[in-house]
Amino acid sequence: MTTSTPTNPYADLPGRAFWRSGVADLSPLELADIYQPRFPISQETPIAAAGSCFAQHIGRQFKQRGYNFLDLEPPPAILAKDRHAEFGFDLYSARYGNVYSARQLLQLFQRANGSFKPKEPIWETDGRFYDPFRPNIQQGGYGSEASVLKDREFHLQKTLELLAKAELFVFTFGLTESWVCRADGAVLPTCPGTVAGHYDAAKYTFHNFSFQEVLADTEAFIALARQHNPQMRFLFTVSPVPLTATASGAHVLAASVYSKSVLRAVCGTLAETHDFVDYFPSYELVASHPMRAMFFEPNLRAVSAAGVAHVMDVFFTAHGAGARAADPSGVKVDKATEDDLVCEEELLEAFSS
Amino acid sequence: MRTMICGNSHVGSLAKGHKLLGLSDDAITLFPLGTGRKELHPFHEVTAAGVRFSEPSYQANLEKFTGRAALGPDVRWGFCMGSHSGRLFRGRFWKWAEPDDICRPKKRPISAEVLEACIESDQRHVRAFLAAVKDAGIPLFVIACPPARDDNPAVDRGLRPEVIRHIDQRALAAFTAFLAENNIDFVAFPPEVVDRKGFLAEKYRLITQANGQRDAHHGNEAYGAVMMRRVADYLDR
Repeated sequence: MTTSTPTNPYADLPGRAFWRSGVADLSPLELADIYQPRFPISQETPIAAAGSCFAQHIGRQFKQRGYNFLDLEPPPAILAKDRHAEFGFDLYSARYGNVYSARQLLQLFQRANGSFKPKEPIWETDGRFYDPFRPNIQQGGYGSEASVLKDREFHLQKTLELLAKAELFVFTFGLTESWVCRADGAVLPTCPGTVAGHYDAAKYTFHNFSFQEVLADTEAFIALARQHNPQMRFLFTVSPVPLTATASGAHVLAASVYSKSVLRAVCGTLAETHDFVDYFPSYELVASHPMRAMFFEPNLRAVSAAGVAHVMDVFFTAHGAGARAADPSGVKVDKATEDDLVCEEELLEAFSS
Repeated sequence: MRTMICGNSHVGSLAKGHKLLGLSDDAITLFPLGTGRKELHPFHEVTAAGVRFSEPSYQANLEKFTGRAALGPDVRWGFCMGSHSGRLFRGRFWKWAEPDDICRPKKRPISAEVLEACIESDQRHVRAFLAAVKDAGIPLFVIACPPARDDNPAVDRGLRPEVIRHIDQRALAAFTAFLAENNIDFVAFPPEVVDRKGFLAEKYRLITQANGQRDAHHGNEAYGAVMMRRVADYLDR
């Protein structure tokens, strides 16, 4: 009897390991085995989500497909759906708005557990008041500083509760570029003077996070989360949406590639390091060159409804939940819904000239 | 010009008041359109024949009580709808949440802006209907629904009366602001129907419905009489 011995380490690898059989010979729509879940996610698993604006799609899809997606700050039932996004409802698991960077994520939960108390005061613009850490959470701001503070106190309490209630935390990494308060390093989701506030170079500074910083911040967030729930697992993904603008001095394309590369590398490192971390390749499914940019809108930035549906189908099919057809309510990614996405980055364009 | 008054269930007290006052049926016709729940969806459409109801139950009642297929400019129309706040405060949401300026500890504070958006969500289809009637050149006015009551079952379930009053007053203010912006006349309820706490006074409350069920929402015939007297005064002006 003879036993076959591989002639080299590649000999017995599956087709997905080779470019030709894994990519070149396939339609871009056939790369289903690009994602093999590390752990199961059942419809009963309590799920929390945060991230950049692309993450809104993920939360929405979990809800539409009947998963146990947590929302600890739900809208009043009487509030019309077409007004939810205006007040940051129905976007994530609490009303924190978009969380673009790992540092912002970490500081959000540090603020929630009281270990970080930023010095940045409430912003006042044209007689309206804004929370600098979620300036777009109520479009047009609040009528008083007291109103902002009451809402924030409740919001942070619910944000902390998430860590106790969730068993899976889904985070979509968006950017490495941030605006930071010089006084204490507090990271702001938007540059002061765009959505609200006033830009002052003496108070705020630009920072482009390095691989080491993003990794350390995410590790710190993981540790914080698992202090509250030692069983917490994490699903990380990288938004395929490029930067609207960069303050790095680089060309915006190069700056986007830097950001996404750092974030992708961090995700890979975390997935290698921890068996409770999974990585889902949203970025690859939309923005890698085999996709030929077909899932982008003509501006090559916004992801089309078809692109979102494709990405989410790959995810849910891998988890045994089937593609959209299996969902009795259907996954309607209609134009109106797409327009509802809250993406402060878009506002940068208004300030580009 | 003949006047036709219609609307949601609050038209019931107006009709009783009309009868109590012995007012002539020749000048004023009162009829119900149907439940106020239907106001949460678009319920009208503008056609070549005039404004009609896309909500079948409303349209059926329009045809049944008036013989007309649409609202037209040959009649002055009074609508009793839009200023009642029951849908806004009845839900379980307000058991745990309160408007932020009266919010107590451990309750969820709801900003004035979110509350205003809730009110707009609740009133939007009534507002759209009234604006369409106005745009069509049809004479119209709006009659106030009664103020909220603090004997609402929601209070038994833990809702603070102060929250009801706050929401009711904000909703009324938002609605009357809309009417003023659109130059639509409003026949408001007089101060005498409101008690010291800001709710419908006990003597104007309907206590038991015709089917024997407790009522914690509507005005009675005395309330209807007060309002129909005001309507008559308005029409005389």
